[in-house]
Amino acid sequence: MVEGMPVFIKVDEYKDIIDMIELTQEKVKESRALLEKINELKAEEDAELELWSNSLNVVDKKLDFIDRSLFEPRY
Amino acid sequence: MGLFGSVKGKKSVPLKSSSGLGAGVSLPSSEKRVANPIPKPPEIKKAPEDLPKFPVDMSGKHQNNQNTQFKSYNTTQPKELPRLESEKSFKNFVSSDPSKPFFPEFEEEDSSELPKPTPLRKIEKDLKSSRLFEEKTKPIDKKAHFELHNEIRRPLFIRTDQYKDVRENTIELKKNLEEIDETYYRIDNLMQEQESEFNIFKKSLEDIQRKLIYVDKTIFEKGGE
Repeated sequence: MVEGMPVFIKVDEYKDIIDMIELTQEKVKESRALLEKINELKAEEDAELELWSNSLNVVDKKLDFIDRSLFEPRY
Repeated sequence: MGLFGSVKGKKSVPLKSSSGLGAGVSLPSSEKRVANPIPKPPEIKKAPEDLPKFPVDMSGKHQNNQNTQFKSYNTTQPKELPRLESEKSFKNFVSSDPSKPFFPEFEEEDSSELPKPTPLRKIEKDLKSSRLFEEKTKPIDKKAHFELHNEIRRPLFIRTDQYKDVRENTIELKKNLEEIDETYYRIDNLMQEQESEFNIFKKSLEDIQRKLIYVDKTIFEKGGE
């Protein structure tokens, strides 16, 4: 393309381009909303994983207690 | 003396043809013609006998003179030749009455099967109305910034000064979208791995639960007996 030369766009094509840009902007908005939703779900998942980790710690401690109580010899 | 002085003494010469009449040529006068009249033709006293006499009198009626010495010619009409098959169709084009004009007679075809022609003006009108209907029923963008352009029937062009920047941005946008697509596939793979880990975790939990039940049964049920 020659630099400095004016470029003209036909109105029908211009309309199509504007419509397409508007649709793309709507899709980007939808994608952003979906990403926020996924982030929220991920935060909930992290919280559940934290609870899971705490529960596992509790289970581990109890198993240690049982193990010590049953199998450690008393003199 | 002058130019015509030498011509003055000479006799005038009569021209042979009328086309070459000149200014200096004198024609013979009419008086000289009267002096030399044209000789009369000799009078014929008697008509020659070898010439035939005409069979027409002054009233113009034919005389039935048998002594006429006109040569008779064979005026018998030739016999009519048989017509060919191809010539028979020509009869339609020849009128029996010579006073009537020669119009060919055609056999009438059965026109009930053929569709009647539509007048050209009606077709044009129908086409025009259908075009107008299509134009009227065409969906129109109701957006405010397009309403001005819809009124314009001719093609409209808009100048874009930032075309180069727009093009570069479009190329970058394509690259960004490709990156987003790759990121999505990576997240999808991680989610699949996470799901498989969750399944393993579920199985291990079930195993732990079974073992605890066994321990519970072994210690407390046997101890209670």
